[in-house]
Amino acid sequence: MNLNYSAILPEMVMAGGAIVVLMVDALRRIENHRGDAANRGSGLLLALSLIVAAGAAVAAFAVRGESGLMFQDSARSDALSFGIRLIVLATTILVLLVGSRYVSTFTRYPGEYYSLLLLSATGMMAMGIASDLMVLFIALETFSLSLILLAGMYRHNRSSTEASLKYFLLGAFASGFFVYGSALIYGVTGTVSFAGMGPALQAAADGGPGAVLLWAGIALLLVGFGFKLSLVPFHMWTPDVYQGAPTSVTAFMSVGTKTAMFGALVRIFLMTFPYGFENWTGPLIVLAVLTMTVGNVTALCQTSIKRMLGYSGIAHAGYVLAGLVPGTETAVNSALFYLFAYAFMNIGAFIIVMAIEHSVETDVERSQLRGTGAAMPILAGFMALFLFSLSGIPPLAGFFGKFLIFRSILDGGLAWLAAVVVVNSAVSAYYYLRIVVTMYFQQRPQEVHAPQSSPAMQVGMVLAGVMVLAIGVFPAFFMGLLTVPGL
Amino acid sequence: MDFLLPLLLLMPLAGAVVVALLGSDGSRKALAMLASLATFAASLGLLQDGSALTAGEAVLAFQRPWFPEIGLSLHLAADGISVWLVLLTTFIMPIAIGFSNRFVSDRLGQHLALLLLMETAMVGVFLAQDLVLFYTFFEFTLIPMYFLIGQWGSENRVYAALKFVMYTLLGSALMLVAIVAIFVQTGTFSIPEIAATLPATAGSTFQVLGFLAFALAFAVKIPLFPFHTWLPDAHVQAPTAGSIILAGVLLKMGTYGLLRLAMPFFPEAFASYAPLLIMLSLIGIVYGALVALKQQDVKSLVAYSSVSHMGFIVLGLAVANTQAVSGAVLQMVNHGLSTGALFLMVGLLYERRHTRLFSDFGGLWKSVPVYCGLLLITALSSVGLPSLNGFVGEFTILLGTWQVSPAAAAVASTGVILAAWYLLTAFRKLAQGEIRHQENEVGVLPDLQRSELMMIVPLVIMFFVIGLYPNLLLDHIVPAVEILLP
Repeated sequence: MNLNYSAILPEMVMAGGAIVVLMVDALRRIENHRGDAANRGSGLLLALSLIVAAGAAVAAFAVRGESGLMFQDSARSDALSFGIRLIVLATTILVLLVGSRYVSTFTRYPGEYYSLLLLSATGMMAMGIASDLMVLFIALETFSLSLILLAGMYRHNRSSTEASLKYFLLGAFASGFFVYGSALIYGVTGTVSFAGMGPALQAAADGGPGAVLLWAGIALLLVGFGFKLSLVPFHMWTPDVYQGAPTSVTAFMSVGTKTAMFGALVRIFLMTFPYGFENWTGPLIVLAVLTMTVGNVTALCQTSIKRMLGYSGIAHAGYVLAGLVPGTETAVNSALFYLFAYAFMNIGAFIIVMAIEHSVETDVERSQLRGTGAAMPILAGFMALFLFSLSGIPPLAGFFGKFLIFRSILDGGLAWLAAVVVVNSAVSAYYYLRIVVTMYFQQRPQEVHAPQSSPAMQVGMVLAGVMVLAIGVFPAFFMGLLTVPGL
Repeated sequence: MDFLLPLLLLMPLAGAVVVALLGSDGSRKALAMLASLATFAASLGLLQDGSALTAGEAVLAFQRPWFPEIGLSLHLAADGISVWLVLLTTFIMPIAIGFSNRFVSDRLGQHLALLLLMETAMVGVFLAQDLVLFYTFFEFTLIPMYFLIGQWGSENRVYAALKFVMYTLLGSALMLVAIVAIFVQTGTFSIPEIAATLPATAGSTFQVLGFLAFALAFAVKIPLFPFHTWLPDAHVQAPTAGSIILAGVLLKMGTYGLLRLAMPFFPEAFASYAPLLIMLSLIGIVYGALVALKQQDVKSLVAYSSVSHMGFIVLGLAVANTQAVSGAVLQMVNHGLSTGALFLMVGLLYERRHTRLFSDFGGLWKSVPVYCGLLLITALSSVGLPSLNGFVGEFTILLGTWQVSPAAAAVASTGVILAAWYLLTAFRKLAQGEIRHQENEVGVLPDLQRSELMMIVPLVIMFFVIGLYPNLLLDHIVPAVEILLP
């Protein structure tokens, strides 16, 4: 039995940190119970959470070299799990940097918010190391349940509550598919461990007994993934949830969920079921093409920025899925690089939305950005940077993400799929650039308050902006950071 | 002097950053001008190794790894073709900046920074020896131009800016797929290596698809008929400095790409599509000229004349003999100078009268004689009067074309006649006849001032220099073209 606790140190730090934050919050509230200063000391919680996330990142680098199966083959530490950890932690830190002032606008219980955020991130990171169906399911539920609560944090807001309920119901539905698929696979192979499934899968793939059940099980798993990744046609919940949830939660969800689910997708479809993987490339291609096209076309028609970013997030999931289709190691590395770049540019854009939302306190319509280019040059400049990166204009982070994905698709000999991706990406430029048009080329109406971005938010914005530039200019360095050679 | 080429990229870039940060408009103007002039001075260093250039070699190569895992490198070099296009860019830039310094006051720092960013990207396009680096610069030119048109353009600027960007983005999207497909085929992004190995290894389907992807991107940029519809909008709406750069340099990125990438990479496909290119360029020459004849607005006349003149350059490339292609390269420089100068002259007039309609002018010869004299020389340079620059280029192209297809040469030469017609008619409507408007009276309409003369006179000098001594350029261009052609 291999109980290698050091290999899961980052997850332990995060889970432990979440509990500590919760306890500190409880003590803080006992201290404050007489006063009405609900937010006193929330800065402390924020600082604590940031330290926890940073500590987990340090731990992730420290145990970077650990590899192999652990805990009775239920967890695996390898290059993939490292990449997932890094992206999830970067996402967490950026979302935490939104700051306590923003959090106080939608909830009176910041402790719960921070601790759920950390717990959710723990679940996402665990998705990357899960190496049997049980652990995978537990990780999935850990982050999903935390996200459901987070989505409903803005308690007195109808759409936030609706978002939470919708995410809960559809999440439960997806989990049902997932569990049922797992049960079928277990029934055929007699084990939940990915490592132990090999022989039985091979036999079934060769036309042995249980092949039908096995394929049905895998198809059900894929549907579960489809819901969580908001692949078309399982995407209906996404825009409503993205729009209704507090924006910081939306930002976290949009990148974190994708990263975790793609990690698990790679783990299952590429590393566990390579037998007969080519049978699955067909459905995956169809899903990818549908997802990016529907996502983009629908995003074209949105006037709410959050909704637009929600639909465009669907399209980005389509690009990543298309990049994974060849199923090679370069394909996985490209997808990781893409998600890493996506984390900074997408959360960067959401941070700007939050800064502007702060002043108008409702959903942000595109028209509210009119004339921001002249009135708030720095804010608008960063927004333009993120939008250009999202549309894939070189030399920004998003360009290299897309470039690597094209390369892996073409390596797999699917020139037409690469053409579909690239045309989609050019179409997406239209709705991203339209925001730039609104910001820079239209006059500012009179009655608009200045945005009240907190210092923390500014740090997050600058950090994301610098990373978007740096990833574009020094792609080799970040590729080296994300991928572990020799694992 | 290994570092001259990266220096040419960094100087405007550094200038852009500092200009954006500086406080007062006065220091911004001075610094932007200084940065562009220093870049021009440095770019003269490209000519230091004259014997290598006349031997057709690439000079001053600079190579550093960029993303070695996937074969990207920062690889720059200049041969006889790129040298002159870079010089064109660095020569035009101070003129455009001079114009903006004089007439733009709204958000000047941003405006000048964007112009300098533009310069880095354009010089990068002409120097890049790595396909991805080329693509990066090629696409990056969109961002500054987008803001220049959208923020400082005329009434319909938002539409024009978005149309410009979307046309170009969609046009070049498939080129990126082709670039990666070439890498999968050859294992390298290095332009010279691909040119050496790809033609022999690529199958015919690959050649055709690859060529079409590249040709589409460049056809939109040039713009070749029928992909030209963004150009009149962009030109008419753009601020003058933007128009000068757009016509002067940006369009050349398309013909340069055709020559540097599409022709050497896919020679067979190119040969089979050359008749189509010739046909489209001839249509463009005649169509652009006929539409130009009908324009009521001086600026859109110049814009359509660009469509016609760029047709000549594509014709020269498509004919693909040394003479025609060398003429086409020479004509890229010539068109940059002449059309840049025409837009400058139109801009100077617009800043005085805030109108560009022919009906608002007439008889200017009496009130602003210096302006009209220079305008006439500029127009004649664009028409192709012997002893001025336009003549040499067009004549060389027509000679080369005649050897391949006398019919095509005959059709193309109608473009020269039509050009004389529309440009001289335009001149007549502006300068000759009676003064019909009070604003144009002697003493009311000011003639060119010294700072304005400093923008236009260098261009006029270059018309004569190239017109009388074209070998200054052709000595470098011809050997480079000979090496490039299969």
